[in-house]
Amino acid sequence: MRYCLLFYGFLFSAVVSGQDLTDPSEIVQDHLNKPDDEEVLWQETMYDYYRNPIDLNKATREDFQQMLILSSVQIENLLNYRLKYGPFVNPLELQVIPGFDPSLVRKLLPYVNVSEIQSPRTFVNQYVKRNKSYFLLRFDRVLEQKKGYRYFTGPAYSGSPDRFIFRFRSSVPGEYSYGFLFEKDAGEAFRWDKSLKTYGFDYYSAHVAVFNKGKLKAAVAGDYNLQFGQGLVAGSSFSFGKGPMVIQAGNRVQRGIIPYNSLNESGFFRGLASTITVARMAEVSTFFSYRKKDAYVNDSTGSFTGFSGSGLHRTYSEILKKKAVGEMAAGANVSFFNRSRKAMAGFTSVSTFLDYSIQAFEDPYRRFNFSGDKNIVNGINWSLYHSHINFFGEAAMSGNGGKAFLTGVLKSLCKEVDILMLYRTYQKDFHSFYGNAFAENSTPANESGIYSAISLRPHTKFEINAFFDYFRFPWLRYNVDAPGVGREYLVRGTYSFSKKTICYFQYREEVKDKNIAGNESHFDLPVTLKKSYLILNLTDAGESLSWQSRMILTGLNNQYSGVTILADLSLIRRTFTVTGRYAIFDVSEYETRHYIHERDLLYTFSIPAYYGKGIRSYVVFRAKLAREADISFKVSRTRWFDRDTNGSGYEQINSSHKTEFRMQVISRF
Amino acid sequence: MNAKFLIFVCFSYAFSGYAGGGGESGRADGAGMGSVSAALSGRYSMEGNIAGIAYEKASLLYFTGESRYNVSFFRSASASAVLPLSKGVSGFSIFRFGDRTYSEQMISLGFGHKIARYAGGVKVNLLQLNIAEQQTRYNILLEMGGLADISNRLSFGAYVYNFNAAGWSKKDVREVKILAGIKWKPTEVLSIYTEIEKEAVYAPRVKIGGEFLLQEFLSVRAGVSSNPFKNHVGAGLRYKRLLLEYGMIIHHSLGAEQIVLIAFQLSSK
Repeated sequence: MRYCLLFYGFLFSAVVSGQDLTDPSEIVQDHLNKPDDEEVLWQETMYDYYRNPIDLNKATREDFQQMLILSSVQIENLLNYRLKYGPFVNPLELQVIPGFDPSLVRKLLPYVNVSEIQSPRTFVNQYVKRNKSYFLLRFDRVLEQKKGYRYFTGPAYSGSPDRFIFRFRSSVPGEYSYGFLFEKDAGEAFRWDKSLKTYGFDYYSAHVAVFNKGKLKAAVAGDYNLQFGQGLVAGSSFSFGKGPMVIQAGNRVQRGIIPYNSLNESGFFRGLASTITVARMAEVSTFFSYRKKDAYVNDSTGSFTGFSGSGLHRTYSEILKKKAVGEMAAGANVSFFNRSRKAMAGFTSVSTFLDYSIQAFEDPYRRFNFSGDKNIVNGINWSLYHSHINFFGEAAMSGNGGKAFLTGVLKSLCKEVDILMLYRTYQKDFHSFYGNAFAENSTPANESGIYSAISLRPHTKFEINAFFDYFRFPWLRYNVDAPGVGREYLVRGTYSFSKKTICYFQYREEVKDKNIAGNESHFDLPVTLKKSYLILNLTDAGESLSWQSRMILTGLNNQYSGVTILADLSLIRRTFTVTGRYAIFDVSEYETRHYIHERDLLYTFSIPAYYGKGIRSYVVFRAKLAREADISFKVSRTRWFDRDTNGSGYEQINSSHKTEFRMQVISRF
Repeated sequence: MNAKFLIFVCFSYAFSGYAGGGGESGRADGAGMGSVSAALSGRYSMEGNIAGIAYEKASLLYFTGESRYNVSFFRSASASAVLPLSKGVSGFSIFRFGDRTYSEQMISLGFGHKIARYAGGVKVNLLQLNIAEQQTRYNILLEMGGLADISNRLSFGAYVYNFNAAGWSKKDVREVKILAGIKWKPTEVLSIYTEIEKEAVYAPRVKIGGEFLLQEFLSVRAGVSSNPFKNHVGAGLRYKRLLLEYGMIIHHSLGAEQIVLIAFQLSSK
């Protein structure tokens, strides 16, 4: 039977190819709609897996969960398959597992392998051979001069327009990780000034982590992230939002404590965290964090309005906010599992104490926002697998009595069909500082809704993914002066002409309220905005040459609002790769501006917004300096035909174009 | 200002900016099929997607004449040569549009190369603009294109015209456009083309067309294009090494554009 399945797998090996992906950003490029620094962290994790693939025969449920590519039911099916038929002989066997289509297997192949010979567990085999370390040095600069650097009575920005990053990381997945990074953003000064809380570079981050040492499952000192349950209480790590990965978006996986080594200067913890296996079926995680965060503190009231998350300290007012408010966070999670780990229940509690109070707001839309200097959030979460069904959910309550509840079911109906249904209701006064659960809003508060998703694979060459999300907001929101309802849906059809040539169409529509622009009255009248996005994409990924062409068409309230057409070309050689793009965009409505992912330097994400009339082009060149070192450059340029300046405020450039240069050196050892 | 020049400016806007610079109709064979050009390959690829030149195996000399709406000073003419090399295929063309009041002259040099199922090409155009009583101006316009055979019956092509965004001044840039299209050949005698064209400033255009091989020596073509809506018809005739192409583009307010091409195949394939 096993060899029949294996033969079946090889039959379809024409549809997938072994190492098509060499850059993890390829996986996410079609699944993101907005820029988010967290993706960098995930990309880095994936790159670790690329250099140190997961062994399909040894990996645990948690190992697969960390990858984020697989849904909980897919992981369950994989583990069941391994249990039933024994160790994998070849990674291509993945295709015969229910819920694994060729496109998914193609995504997974670079990050998994099958060990042939069991190496003895020696120090050299376990740590030295598997260790992957790198250091990275990056430089960015916008070539045109921005307003903030011009000299009037003195430039507004305190530093040069150069951005420098130095990053080091050493790790063995599942064993240990340590690393640090320094950064100076464009406009920030490189100086040592205690009064300005600046010590050379503007931002530093470091961590040391060990995993799976006896009863100690994970321990981190330094910067880290947390992901427990569905993220209502602690969900600060990266997770897919609503997009073409329709199943994964609605079903978060518990990743526990994750070391942090990213450039995003907010949204992480700094201190100590550990997970200990107390009994065979219980794990206890505890953490403590203290950080000084950016905020503008009003000296007369001794309070502030909220944290600033940009991490930029270029101007006097930005420097004034730097590390102004101390935030102490402490908490714990206790998770119980059954013997097969198919059932799980957990309790999470997080307390936060601030040096200053967040002030209460007069504006109606912020009436239920958090105010005060301490908050506590408690939650319970659960997950149960049974007969290809995963029931999951989380319920939480903040210190003020605000409640949030989320529950879902994910079912693999057959090998070709997966469905997911998710219900959530978050009260308007629910306050979770580190919550990142499935939501339409940026935080899990003031909304309820039902999300339904389906993934269909009617043919080995054809796949359909779709979701429909209906939501309502019981209270006012920013720029929406009334409670309201909305809906969003997406359909993507993917057709594989061959193992290298894939095309897809995607239609996405979102209907939400928004205040009429320019209305100065205290209360505005929200109107319904309907945004439509149509994408046609054709990709041909050859071994030495790959290209892609895409058209994005958008509409606002059934009126055409923009188009972008682009062509990408990559030339891949043993010692170098060159990738380029040429795009023409004509986007008249800012509401439906086009966010389009573009290839960048390794560990860097770039998803610029296309708006106006113009062209954008870039070239990325990457060459090997030595066996384990490479250098890369990126030059990108946007030219507008409908304006003489671009950017706003101090970022304004008095020119119809913007050119950015980036350079990076990576050495691995 | 000369009245002819004023009329020319008005018509230029009516054409949505496609007057000059190689003409709206582009290739003579594509003119009969909705003015498609991105997924077209072979003989006449010195116009349209330059990557298509890489498919040509024989040396070729051809002359094109174009007349628009029966306006004498809207005529254009070009002469082109295609020469296969030991590696790749090169091409050369000269083009003229207009009359003594306003004219554009262009010299183009192109190169295309095909490896396996991919073809790529680049073209350099030196454009000279003459306006009566004004200084002659020059521009170098660059083009780049690619073609890929997805299967025996399906091809994809895309190219960018004037990707260096050259123009007379920063505010007066020549047309910059990107075109992407597909060719589907369901049978040996039928080819169907569709493409989208986006010029940086004007609305996108969608084009659909087809070619049917009636006899080995005779093919007929038809198509439509949008923004503005136009009907296209055309035919191709072959007699030994002599080829004749004809295309007509019908604008329902302005009238018809006609394009005629005569080609001599200098060497056998």
